[in-house]
Amino acid sequence: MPHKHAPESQDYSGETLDSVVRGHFEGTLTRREAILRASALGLSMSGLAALLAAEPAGADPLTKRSPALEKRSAAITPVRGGTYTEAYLLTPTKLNTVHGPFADEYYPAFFDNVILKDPEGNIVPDLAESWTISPDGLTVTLKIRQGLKYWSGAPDDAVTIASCLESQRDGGPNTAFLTGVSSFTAGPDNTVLIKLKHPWYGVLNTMATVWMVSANPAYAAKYGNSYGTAGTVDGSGPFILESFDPATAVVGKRNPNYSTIMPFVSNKGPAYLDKVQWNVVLDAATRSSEIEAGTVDCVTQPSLENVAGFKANPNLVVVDLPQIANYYIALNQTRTDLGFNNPQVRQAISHAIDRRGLVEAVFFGYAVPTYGPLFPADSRYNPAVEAYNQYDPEKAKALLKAAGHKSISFEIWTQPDEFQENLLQAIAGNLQDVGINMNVLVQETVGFFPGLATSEAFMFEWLFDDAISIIAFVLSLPTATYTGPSPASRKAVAEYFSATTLASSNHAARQMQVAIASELPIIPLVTPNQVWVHNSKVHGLQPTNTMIYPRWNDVWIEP
Amino acid sequence: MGRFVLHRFLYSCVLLLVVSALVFFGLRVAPGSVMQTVTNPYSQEKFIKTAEAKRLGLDKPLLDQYLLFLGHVVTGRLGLSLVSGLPISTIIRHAAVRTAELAAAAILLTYGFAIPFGVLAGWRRNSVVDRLLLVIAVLGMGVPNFFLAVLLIQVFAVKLHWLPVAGSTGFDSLILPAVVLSAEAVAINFRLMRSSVLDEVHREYIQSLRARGVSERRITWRHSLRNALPPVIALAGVMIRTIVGYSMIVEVIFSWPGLGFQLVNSVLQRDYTLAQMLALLLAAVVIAGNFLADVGHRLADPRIRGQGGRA
Repeated sequence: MPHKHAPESQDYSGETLDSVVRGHFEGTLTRREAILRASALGLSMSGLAALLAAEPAGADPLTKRSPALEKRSAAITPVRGGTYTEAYLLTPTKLNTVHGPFADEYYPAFFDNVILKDPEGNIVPDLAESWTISPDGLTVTLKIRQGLKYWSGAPDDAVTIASCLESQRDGGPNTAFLTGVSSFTAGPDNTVLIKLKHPWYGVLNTMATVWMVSANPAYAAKYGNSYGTAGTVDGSGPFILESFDPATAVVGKRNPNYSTIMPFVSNKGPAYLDKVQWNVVLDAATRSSEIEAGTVDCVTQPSLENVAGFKANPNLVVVDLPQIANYYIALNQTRTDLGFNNPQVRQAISHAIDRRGLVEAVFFGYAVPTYGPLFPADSRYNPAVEAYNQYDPEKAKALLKAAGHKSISFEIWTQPDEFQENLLQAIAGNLQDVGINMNVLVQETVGFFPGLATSEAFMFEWLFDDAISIIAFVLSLPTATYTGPSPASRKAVAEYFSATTLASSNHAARQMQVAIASELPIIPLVTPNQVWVHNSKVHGLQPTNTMIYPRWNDVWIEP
Repeated sequence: MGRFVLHRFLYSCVLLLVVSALVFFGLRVAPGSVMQTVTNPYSQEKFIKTAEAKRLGLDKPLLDQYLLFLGHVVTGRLGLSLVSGLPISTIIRHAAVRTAELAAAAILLTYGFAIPFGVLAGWRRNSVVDRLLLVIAVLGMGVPNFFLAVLLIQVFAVKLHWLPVAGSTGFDSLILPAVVLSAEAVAINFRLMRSSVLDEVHREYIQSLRARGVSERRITWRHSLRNALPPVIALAGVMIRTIVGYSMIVEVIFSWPGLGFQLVNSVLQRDYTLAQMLALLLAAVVIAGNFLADVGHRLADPRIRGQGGRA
């Protein structure tokens, strides 16, 4: 059947969610059309994205598992015990909540968040049971649950939590995202007071990110450079760090005293699993082999060319969702000789890029073309950005000509990553078609950031729970002059960071996306999917695209 | 002989000192810094990076840091990893055990297969056994070890489920990495042993032994083997160097947490303290291997054992 093209004003009466999802899977509806129809039916972007993305073998697309597996799961009571083993794709970094360079996937196993987002994107309680915002918008009061303790038995209360959050604000990994906060302090009645420099509704989104956790600050002070390894960390999460070896594995054992109030988690007490273990397996092909051989329970980001085979394997379940991430290109706008300060040149480059082609050729379909700075499954996504940056080589040539450039030649930096290198080579091919010569230079990760300010262009992938914060931040990478004046974009970002209500915050978020899509201080490319492949005996694993990592309390393994 | 050993030992020490300087300054000169690994890449706050550099001792002059490094080597107090904060001695101890296991297994496989099959092939020249072994040797030398690794993983781990894919979970996880690591060495040593035995087969002393009624088995496995061994022993230093060098690739493919795996990771992360210790340690192993091979060659070959000075 041919694709139906539905203008936004079409009457969708008679349509059901079932018909929308089936239409997408049967190929009669494009993803954009499915989003429009589902929105009309009242389904959020993240909810629809979750339904559309999960395609286990033989599955009913309205569920995330096959009917047979679903029936088995419903008939089986969760079993306590067992060790969940995952082939982990990165070299583990220390669980240093104060100075750590990276929050690994195992963070939620060992630490609880102050607040976090549920799979629908709503902010929900965790360590904080409730919160209020003062009438002047300058103070957010978080009421911390009573009786919380760290693994050591020390109290996990407003004093320690405020100390953790303050270390994030002042020199920690989240410093750049908390510039609107003047302090975190402990208030009366086991409360944490967030004092703001100006009213800012979005602070709650920044609070609901992976770094905003509670860990006993006395341990950070005591262990200094060694802080973050087994025996030197005191968290309050569902698992206790048992061993940390960045060469082999990170292992946690069940915290018998754990309790939670996260509303989207069924198990509110100690975790089902005895242990969780992340084995270091850096090579994607080896991870694929491990899950096929059954030597691990789960892998993330296997070789994408193997995913179709995994979906056909009745012993495996594949979950793939758009990540809270985005590949983008930044052009050094101080390079007026290359014309990068000219919006027409930037638009020409953007129009020359075939994003749908990149998704199929480089990501084997496990990515989403992205025309604005925010990924399409975000609840604040503005589909109006799709009017910009569509693939149009003739328009690209015309824009270049209007800008007075016959051809441009430049060098672009990227980090050593298979997808990034392949992505850039494919883009280079697109640009060649319109007379632009782009040379790819792979820089080691450790040398990438220090030298960025001298580059002509670079490509980067951001990955963070709060998309808008990171977008605001990337506009300042590596210096504000790199991404140019971009007045409309910066004005919209400033409006987001001063929005005092949910409505004005969402409005500013939508405006910001259109401003960036048209001005192009950064050129958005694609949003890659996170791909999880787990054994069918694993239950309760719930990756979402509202928080970058899943929670572990509901996970259990059939014996 | 004593003078020879002393001369070789001093030479090895000087070589090690030169390597230490190359490793230390080479890492510092390479683009990038450990600061990008230990601080958040999103963080552009200069004061964070300056404070962290001071905390890690990286604000001192390079020469001071080099002398500190040499001091650590000589005293055996190796310091902490800049990235993980774990004691380097602990990391090396655990990794060295793993590499030693892998290397020992590979060496056992190498000489355990190469010597007896080389002797067999030499004595059964042009037989079916000889031809079959030669074909296998050619494959062993020609197939790249990373390709062999992928092939063996697919067959024995993924399809047959006989062995694990990666990691170091037990004896069975040692088999595939050891086979991959030893494949080329087995092939090379087999061919060398075979040709060395072929040289011995036609010598007069073999005819004399037969004439005296010594059994073929004794002639093969005692007399000709001993005389055919020196070339294999002479190559042992090169073999150890090859096995140590390839172990890095094999350890990364199989996520075997040995010295090579640690070295690759530490260099990529610019974990200076760990990387320079590991690089020096691996160089020391190679230098020691050559030293032992030189001495061993002198001891094994009676034609040069009595000579003084240089061989």
